[in-house]
Amino acid sequence: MVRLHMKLAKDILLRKVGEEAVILDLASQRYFALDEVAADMLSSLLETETNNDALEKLVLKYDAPWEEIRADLEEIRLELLGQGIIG
Amino acid sequence: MEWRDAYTYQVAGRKVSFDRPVQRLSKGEKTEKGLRQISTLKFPAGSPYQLVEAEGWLLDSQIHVKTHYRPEGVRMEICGSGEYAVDTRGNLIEVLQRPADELQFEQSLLGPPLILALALQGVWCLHASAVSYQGNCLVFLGDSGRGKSTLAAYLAGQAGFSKVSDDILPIEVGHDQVRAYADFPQLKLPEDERVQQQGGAIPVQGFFLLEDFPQLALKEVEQTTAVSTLVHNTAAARTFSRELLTQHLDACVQAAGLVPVFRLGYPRDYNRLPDVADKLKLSLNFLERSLLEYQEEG
Repeated sequence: MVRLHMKLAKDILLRKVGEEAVILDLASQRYFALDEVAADMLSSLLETETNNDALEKLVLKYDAPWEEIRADLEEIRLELLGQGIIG
Repeated sequence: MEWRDAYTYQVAGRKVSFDRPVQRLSKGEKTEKGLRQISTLKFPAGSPYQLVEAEGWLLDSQIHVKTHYRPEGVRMEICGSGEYAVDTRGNLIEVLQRPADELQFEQSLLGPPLILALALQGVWCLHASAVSYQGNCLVFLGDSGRGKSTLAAYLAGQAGFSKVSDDILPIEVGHDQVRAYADFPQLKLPEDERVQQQGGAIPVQGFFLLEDFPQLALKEVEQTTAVSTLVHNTAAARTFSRELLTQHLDACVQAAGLVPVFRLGYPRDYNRLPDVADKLKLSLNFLERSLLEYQEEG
């Protein structure tokens, strides 16, 4: 199986704030805020081996259509990748 | 090794020594002239360092600051306004090169170098005005020109309020409380309007982000916004090293968990300030009740 495990990129700090999260990119001094769902999706991406594992974890948690969760997860994943937060 | 006298002052509950007397800090603060001696900080060429470059404002002037973090200490170049050295623990500030103009020198020395020295000692300086009310501190944040000083000045003239800060407010974040200090030199104010410098820490009861709004409105923000508000209203944060940025973020997260942050919107109209004062008093009574209920439940 191809490992697609996501990790926080170098220079990225993640701090939980209640159910939400803030991220600091130490290199650029940019800050990001994640709402509860986005923070949960990031945690799932970081804690599981593949994107599908992350999706399965979220499907069990959220009462929403599978396709909707998949689309949201992909959107968040691409945004985090694009900002250099995960890799 | 070169030895010189140091002049030690109490600022925001911390001791900071300078390689020369600092007139602005002498009033109302403990000065221990010549009680300790210091060696001039040396920065050997080639030692590893982290360079942080930042643009910022020093009062009404835009400045470019280069901050060199080295194992021996921190060297801060404020372009056109001198060079300063701060030791790694933030206990000592030395002037490496000073501008000729006395006022510009004072503003520089008591600006980024002092703010950095305090940060290295775990005290974060907010761009904020503040007042105390019933023994607690209310902190007003917002963009330049939004009316932080005007609101603090108005409230200071009302019964029960007194001014704590006009422009820079040092805070420290404890396990169960955020505390503010009223003794930072407020450079914006003319001599006769300066805040009476006082020692001791004042518990912070609320942070209020001032915004233009057609009517009076007060709303608590969510926690990530609270963290972001504190982060972005910290003075000289762009000069921080990675280690300081990490400590600063942790302090802001902790502070946002301890003290509520509100958006306080009102029209830019001096005649509405009495309504703002009433709204603040109401919110403080509510906060006080909430705290008591929380303590009783605990």
